[in-house]
Amino acid sequence: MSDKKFKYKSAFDIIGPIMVGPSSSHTAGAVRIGNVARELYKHTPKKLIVTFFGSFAETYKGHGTAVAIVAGVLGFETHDERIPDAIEIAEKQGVSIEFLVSTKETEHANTVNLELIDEQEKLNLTAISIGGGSIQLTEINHYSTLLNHDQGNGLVFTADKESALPCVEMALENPAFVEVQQLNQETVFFVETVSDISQKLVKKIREIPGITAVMPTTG
Amino acid sequence: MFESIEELVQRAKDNQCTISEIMIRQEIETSGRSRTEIMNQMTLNLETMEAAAAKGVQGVRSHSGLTGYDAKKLQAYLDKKTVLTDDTFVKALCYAVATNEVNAAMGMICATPTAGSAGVVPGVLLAFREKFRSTREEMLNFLFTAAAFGFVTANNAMISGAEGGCQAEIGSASGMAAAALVEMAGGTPEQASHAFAIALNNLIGLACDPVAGLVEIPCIKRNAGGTSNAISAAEMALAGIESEIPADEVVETMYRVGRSMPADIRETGIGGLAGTKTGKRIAKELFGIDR
Repeated sequence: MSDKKFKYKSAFDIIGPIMVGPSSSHTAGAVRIGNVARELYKHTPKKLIVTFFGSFAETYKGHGTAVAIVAGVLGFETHDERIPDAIEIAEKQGVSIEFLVSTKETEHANTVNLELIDEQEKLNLTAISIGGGSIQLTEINHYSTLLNHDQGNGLVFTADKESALPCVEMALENPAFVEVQQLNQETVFFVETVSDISQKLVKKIREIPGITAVMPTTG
Repeated sequence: MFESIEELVQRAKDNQCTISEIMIRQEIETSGRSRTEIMNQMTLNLETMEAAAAKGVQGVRSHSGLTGYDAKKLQAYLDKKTVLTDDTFVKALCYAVATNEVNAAMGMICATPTAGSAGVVPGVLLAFREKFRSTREEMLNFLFTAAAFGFVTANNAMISGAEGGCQAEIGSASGMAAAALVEMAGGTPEQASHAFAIALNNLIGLACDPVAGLVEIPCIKRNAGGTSNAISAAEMALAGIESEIPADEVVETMYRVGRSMPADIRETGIGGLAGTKTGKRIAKELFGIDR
């Protein structure tokens, strides 16, 4: 199966997600990009810098993209009715937020870069919103990758390469693509799968010793 | 997974089943989940659609204040029993507008295939459900048929206005709704495929030109436009009319046209209706954007 051809893998990528409007690429997709950052960073940052490119840069105000990104970083889901108030909620939690726009040409019209910063940790993430709420991650801390991050895809972080990889492969019955990179002190496993990853499976992977972060799925 | 509409229709013929059944079987296979789990998830989507339409008909206003209460006007117009066409048609417009008004008000909706085009499929479904007295199962099947056509479109072209213009959003939604309506009315998989192609043919090259970058003007009314287009395409297909250009070639056309559209009319809020004197004035008043 030429699985790389399928940007969308499920009926629910087309009918869904259930979300707070007004735009699946600019709002729901943006929430999910924020969710990825949340999952990797694991806590609320002190400082958040968001840079919008392309169509995001032109229309992020009207589409609620700014509130959506912040909502995602706070860990809200696409249908959370607090999304419109996310910036206020974040500021109350002591997050300083900066929104920038860039005129730099990007491959995809809806590109955003997030920087999450505090005393201990820094995360730099670039992602694109490809439509209908589906997103792809293009860069993590300047390592480039191209993962479909929607239903049926996973991204796994671990500190223990030797023991974790076989576990991951076992857990994900049908990996389409596995890539391993070194990032700071951690070994990162990028695992893309053809089939859906259930919440149950995510929980099972989280329980594997050495795994420190697993991407949320939308199933 | 099926890669083309031709393949989708062929599978339905080979298995002597509907297109919705092919989509459901593929979902079971690729997700590893049971039919019940999949049906339950689609039921949640359907319930979200019903709730959004009901809320919109009551009347909502967007955050910007630019749009709202048009679905309520359509309902009042229907109540007076003086419509030009028929109740089902006007109800479809009403539910489509209602859904997209809720979307513009940052309310909860189900993206179908996107948020900007979320009104078309529910608009058609909820209006014709009343006419056909459809069961819940038939309504879920409608959504799976729509999903099957959207799935091919999304994988072979695009479903975002930023990538391909409004043809990718309202166009895709219109094609999806037309095909699903044909199946609901008892048409064949081929007729569904022609309805999809006819609906999309009519919207090739449609600009995505939101005024002030907001999913309001012209998006909300375009959901009604896409809805009426879907119904007329379904009527033609059920009458035995075919799209001379096969559905897959129409999808490919949408891709090519989308790639060649200038950025101004791909959701940047610069060109098209957004670039009119009034469009610019609204952008300046709301966000201080001056072009």
